[in-house]
Amino acid sequence: MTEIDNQLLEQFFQPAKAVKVEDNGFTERVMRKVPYNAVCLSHLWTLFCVLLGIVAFVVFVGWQPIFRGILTLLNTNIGDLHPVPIFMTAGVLISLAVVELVQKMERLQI
Amino acid sequence: MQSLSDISLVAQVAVFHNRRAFDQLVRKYQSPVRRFLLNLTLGNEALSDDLAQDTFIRAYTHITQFQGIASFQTWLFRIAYNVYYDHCRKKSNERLEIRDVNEKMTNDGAVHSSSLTSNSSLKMDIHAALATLKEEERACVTLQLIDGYPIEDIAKMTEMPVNTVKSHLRRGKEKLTTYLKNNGYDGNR
Repeated sequence: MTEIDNQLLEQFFQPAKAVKVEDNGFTERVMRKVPYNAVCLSHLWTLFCVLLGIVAFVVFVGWQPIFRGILTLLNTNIGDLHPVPIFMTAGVLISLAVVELVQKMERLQI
Repeated sequence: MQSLSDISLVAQVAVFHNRRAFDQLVRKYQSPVRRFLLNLTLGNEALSDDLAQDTFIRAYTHITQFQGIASFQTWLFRIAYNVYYDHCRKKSNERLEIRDVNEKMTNDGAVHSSSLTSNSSLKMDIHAALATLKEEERACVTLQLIDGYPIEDIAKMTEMPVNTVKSHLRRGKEKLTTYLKNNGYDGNR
């Protein structure tokens, strides 16, 4: 294979690189064929986990530590809190918000 | 951000079986996958669309196997190649007929392609040229010269050793060069 042969092939296949196949209902056809069974099982599993969580919350009196935490927070002087974890948490939350915003913009094709 | 967005969509499909997220992935990658399969099937639009559908359904049912090491498109192409390969194996009896048709088309110097490609003689020429190659050679050449993948990625997609991919590429390119020169593409016609 010479350099000229490689150039010949590159040149020949160049138009094929730019080909964009239009959707023309292809995505809808695929989505109609995507199986639902997995979705049903997933929903049942989620429901089971939620119910298990509610039962555990009631059995182990889950609201007590929450109230205790809120009371402790209310009795704490804001100046005593360490700023580093707060900044880290804020950073993570802002990053997630930006990712979500970008996705929403992509969905709306802005 | 693009790959992050893909990973986020894949995670939504894998964890919550979010169909809207999968719809977005299909819409985004249908063109490269269908183009790849269209070239492998030498412009057979109906067959390539069927194989592309199978590719996306297999991707949906095996989405938890996507590890995010390679890009989502590379992973999809790997599935697409496997779907095409499975199809060829299943239709091994018909394959002989396809080869006969390919040979006939090569001799005639033209491929009777589908409605999608019939309006472009250049696309017909590309499919006629690809028809001179064996399936593995065609896959390797298509992935490198049209889709622009490096040899290492092609080896991963086709599950072939790197040296085998290099051999297929060398033989495929030699055949194509001969075909192009015989048909006057080097300007000596």
